[in-house]
Amino acid sequence: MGQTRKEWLQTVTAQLRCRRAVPGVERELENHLSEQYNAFVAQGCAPEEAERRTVESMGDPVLAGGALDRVHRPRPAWGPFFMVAALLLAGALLRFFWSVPVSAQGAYLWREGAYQSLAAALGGTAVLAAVYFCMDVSLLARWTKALYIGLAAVSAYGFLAGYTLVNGRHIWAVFGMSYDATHFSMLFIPVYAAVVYRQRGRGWAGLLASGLAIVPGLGLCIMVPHLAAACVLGLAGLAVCLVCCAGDWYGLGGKKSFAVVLGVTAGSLVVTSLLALLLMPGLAGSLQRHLEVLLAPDANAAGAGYWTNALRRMWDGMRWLGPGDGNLPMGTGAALGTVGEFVRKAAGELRADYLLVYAGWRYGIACAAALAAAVAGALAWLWRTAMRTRSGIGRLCAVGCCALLTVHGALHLLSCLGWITTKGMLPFLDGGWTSVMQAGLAGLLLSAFRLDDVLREPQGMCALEAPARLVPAGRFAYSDGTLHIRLR
Amino acid sequence: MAAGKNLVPGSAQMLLLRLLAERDMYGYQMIEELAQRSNDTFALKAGTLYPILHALEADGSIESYEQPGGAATAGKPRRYYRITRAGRGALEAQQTEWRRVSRAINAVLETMDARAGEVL
Repeated sequence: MGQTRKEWLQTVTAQLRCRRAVPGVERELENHLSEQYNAFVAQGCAPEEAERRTVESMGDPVLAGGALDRVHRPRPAWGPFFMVAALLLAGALLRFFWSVPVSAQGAYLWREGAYQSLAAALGGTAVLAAVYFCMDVSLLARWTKALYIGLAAVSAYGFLAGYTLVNGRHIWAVFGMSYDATHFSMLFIPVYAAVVYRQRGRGWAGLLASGLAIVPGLGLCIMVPHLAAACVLGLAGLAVCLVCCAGDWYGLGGKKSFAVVLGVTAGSLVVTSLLALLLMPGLAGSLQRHLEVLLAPDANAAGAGYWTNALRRMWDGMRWLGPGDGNLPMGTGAALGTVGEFVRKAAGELRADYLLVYAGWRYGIACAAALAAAVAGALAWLWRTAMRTRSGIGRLCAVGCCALLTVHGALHLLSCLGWITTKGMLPFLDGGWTSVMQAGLAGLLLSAFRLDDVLREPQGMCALEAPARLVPAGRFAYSDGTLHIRLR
Repeated sequence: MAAGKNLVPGSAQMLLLRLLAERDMYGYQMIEELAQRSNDTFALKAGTLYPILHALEADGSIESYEQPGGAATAGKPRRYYRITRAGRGALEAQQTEWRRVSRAINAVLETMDARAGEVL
């Protein structure tokens, strides 16, 4: 007797060198084999005959497996990978050179800071490589519910069990490690992408579930409290939803679902803002103060407008090349001192939170522009990679991660220019846990691209129609509340 | 009669894209449809079909999605393929090229037939 269907399939899959490709290929060929076998049986073949003819109709398994092996190979994405790694290293090196000691006490601080920066760069690169090589994005789609519930449970645990407030932020003690809750919120995006991926073809119910699934993440950011993190998460989530709408994944029509998502988002923003203004009496005053600071920071340069005014003065004193003019006054009052004095006093905070401003001040605007261009180039490369990812779950994850990193970069730029009063996290150059998390997200999107031809996740909408019901035999039959009448 | 092995590979891509330009199909359905429309001239083996489909998918000419297969696949989802905009462009180019080549081949064959007739 010749090969059986199972043996044929085993011979084909044995030719695939990338073992991750096996389940996807196997599933499709298995379906084909069983369909062909059933067709031969329906034509009146005996089981053995049907088996033989099925295997014969499939062709040479070694040739088929070899041809499939040539298609299902990981696609490397070394360009963006090394770009991200180079930025991580550049961030650490910048801090290394900036931390030149001026005293013995300074020398100790310099060493500590340099080690932390180097550790963050090495850690970030290790996470980037680990996620890039080992992460299988289809696992997110397989374990969505568990991941989502787990994330929500850890968030709840962080709030209820062991957090401390540092500068108004929640620092959690999760598994014995101190952790900024806003970093944790970044993990929501890949899991959210998986949730949205599972809503494809579910129509209005899917659209509603996609909208509601982002609420816990946003709630976490608001409770931290970190409005910028909420904006980052909200915009990244919106990008994920819009990708689904553009591909008509909900099955409601692309333009229609697009309009609904944008309309509901705008409506929710208006309603939430009105509710917040009604329920939080101090909010209106706070917003007004923020607006005043942004419009005229020098009017209250010693108070609420101190940082915004200082950042803008630094830009005024910057040259295209070389260090900035430290003699420039900070304002009209003599007590405010000069910009040079401010920079010396706030150097630590400037290096940590306003990297572009500090780089521009130390080496000139050209240096800040070059750093911003390098980050923008890396983000553009990551976006290009994300948009070239074809698998559904892969593309959603990749777009979500890219959107999140882009909003981080945009917020950092705006805060450095003194146009917003919140801080942003410059992608990959920020140092510390932020860079490690950002490297992990970049690794995830590059991994999705790398395994695109291997995992064979469906790309388009999966219309989850109910399978055709089997009609009972006989001229008249009754099942599931339906009377069946066979006319011929 | 089935087509010779060397004739099929070059044209199989075009034929599959042409089928998918009409409607979304799954692998088994494509083999059946192709055989039926060509009076069994193109009896494509599954071992030949799937590498071509997967390669077309990798270069973005087609994309796939899953739908429940019903009783025929014991409830397992079937993978349907649909042509993309890039795929339609590729099909158009391949058809134009195919018509040009087939006209040239026919012209050569007809000339040879005419000469053979003259000799006879």
